[in-house]
Amino acid sequence: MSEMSTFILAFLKSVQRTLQVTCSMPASPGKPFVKGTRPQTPVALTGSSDIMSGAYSRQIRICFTMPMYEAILSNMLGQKPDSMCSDLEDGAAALLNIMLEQTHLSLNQVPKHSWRSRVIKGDTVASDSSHTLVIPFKTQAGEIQIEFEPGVQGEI
Amino acid sequence: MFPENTKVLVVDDMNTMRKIIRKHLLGLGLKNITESDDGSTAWEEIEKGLTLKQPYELIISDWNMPILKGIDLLKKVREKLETTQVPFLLVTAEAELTQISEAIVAGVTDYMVKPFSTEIFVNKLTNVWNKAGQK
Repeated sequence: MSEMSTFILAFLKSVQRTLQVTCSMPASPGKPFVKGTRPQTPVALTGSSDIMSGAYSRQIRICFTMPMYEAILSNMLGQKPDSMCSDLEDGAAALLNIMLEQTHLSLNQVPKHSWRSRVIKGDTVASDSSHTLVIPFKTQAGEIQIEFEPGVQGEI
Repeated sequence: MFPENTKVLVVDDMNTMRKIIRKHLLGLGLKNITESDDGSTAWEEIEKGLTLKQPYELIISDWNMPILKGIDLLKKVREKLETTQVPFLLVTAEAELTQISEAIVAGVTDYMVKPFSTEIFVNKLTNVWNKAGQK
């Protein structure tokens, strides 16, 4: 198994663990697909991180529809937020931070430099490649999509 | 366990994480909670509390923050005579476990790894309370 595949598998496990522990939300990975080959889900919020590690040095994104994000937030905070205010949107980045940190630990790696995930609102993520790999996670509240940007040669 | 009027400072640059910790604290009956979004603003808040003779009695801080990190806030707290005994719970990512020894040397009361469940939070806070009671 390549270093890249090892990283992705570790990341997928950390997605499941983080959603389970932080949000009490079991999630199971679905069949991967290439972005653009199936109808686009209306993404409302994306947590995005440009990471640098020995195994994976590109962008990872976690994409939520608004109902999905509200369900996650309700589970995280123990109550449904009165309104989806902007200061609660950083949860998308916070979750991705935890997932990436867990991944690096499970692989016994330290990122080459400190990274912080950011939040992108709306369906405005500009993917410069038609080879973005998407792995959907199914939960009781709906679907979360994880996007892996391909490398320079288009490989994942 | 900490009495409900315990003055608590929660420090994290992520608003959602602060809200999660607030939820857990409220669940334990603790209501006197102040939030700071960085170690530097937290330090100002701690000094303000001392000036007003209303010092913080429990600090819960994230490690990884952009301006003043949790470990550096801990060191400042431990260097000041008036706050050297204040219970300090450091919240960290597992990738930073190698740095935990630095926190122990600096005098952290306990640390908690993300992600954490309600049960873990309660256990950690109970441990912090027990350790604080021994001092």
